Amino acid sequence: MAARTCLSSLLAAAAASTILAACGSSGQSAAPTTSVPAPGPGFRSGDCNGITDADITAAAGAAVFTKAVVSDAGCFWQENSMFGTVGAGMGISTWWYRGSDMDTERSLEQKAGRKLTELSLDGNKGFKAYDGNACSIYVAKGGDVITWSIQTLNPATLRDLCTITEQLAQLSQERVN
Amino acid sequence: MVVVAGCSSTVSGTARRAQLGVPDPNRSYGYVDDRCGLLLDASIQETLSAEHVVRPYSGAVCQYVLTRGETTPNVGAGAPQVIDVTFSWFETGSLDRERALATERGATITETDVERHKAFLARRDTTGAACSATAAAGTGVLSWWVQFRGSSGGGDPCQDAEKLLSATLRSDL
Repeated sequence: MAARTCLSSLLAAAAASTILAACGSSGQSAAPTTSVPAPGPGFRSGDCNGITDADITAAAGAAVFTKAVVSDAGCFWQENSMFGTVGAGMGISTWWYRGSDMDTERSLEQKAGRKLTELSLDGNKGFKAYDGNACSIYVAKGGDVITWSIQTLNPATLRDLCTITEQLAQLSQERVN
Repeated sequence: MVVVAGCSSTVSGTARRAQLGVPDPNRSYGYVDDRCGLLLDASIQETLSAEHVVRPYSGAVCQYVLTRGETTPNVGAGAPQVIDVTFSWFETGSLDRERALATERGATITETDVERHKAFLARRDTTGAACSATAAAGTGVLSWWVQFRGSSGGGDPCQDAEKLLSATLRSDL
């Protein structure tokens, strides 16, 4: 038995159902069984979404980025200009969202003030989001999303940022579908 | 909205274990109010006893880079330990898919329970000593991953990952 105290009891009845849902009340019925089409299969991907250090060098130049993260979420190559803690986290990253809505990321990028362009890679829909110091590519398949991003404090010393991430995203897509 | 914070629940009698489902089926752990997994950057920094934290990437996946120890190149002082952390929230993901992937990639898996959530730890060292703590939660699955960059010893990344997971799951009660 659980006794629940909730702000909802103080609030208008009109809002009550929303509030209850947010409180995790077990009084709500289960998810509707209507015919919402289930998403198709997502990506099948390995470490770093199929991209090697050699691919990074080919896309972004030699001795600029060093691989620092290899996790099940994705990978990150640190830009070598890091000094102390300045520049920490600047570099190239890729992530694989295994069950996530691309529109969530789209609205975050919009809020961050980046320019957005729709695109399609290897038959999958996506978009790119960019400004002077960053360019990210998002591609969705089924319920999955794969991203490629570059962020730098030194854009002038690199190729066009979106050219770099587009090349990596294209190559990656050829290996995860 | 933020009303959730106003909810509390008092459980009396025998504790029930949520064996089949999760205790928080309607909870979202998405990026909101500058927090990933409901945690402020300062909480992550504190949990890992780090001096400095940046979050270069935020969304369904959040990435952090932290440093612990001396952060300026100093005479006599050891180089700072860089700690990489990622958080993932997959709202339509599943614990089974995450476990299968971690197994396929060669991690050492330990099944566990964290704050009444079914969970597992996955230890796999690649670019450092690293471990993820992953739990079924809300509608999907969430995971904290911790790495001591470039290191093969000193500290247990599984313990730190589990601490972060526990902090996220605790903050909803």
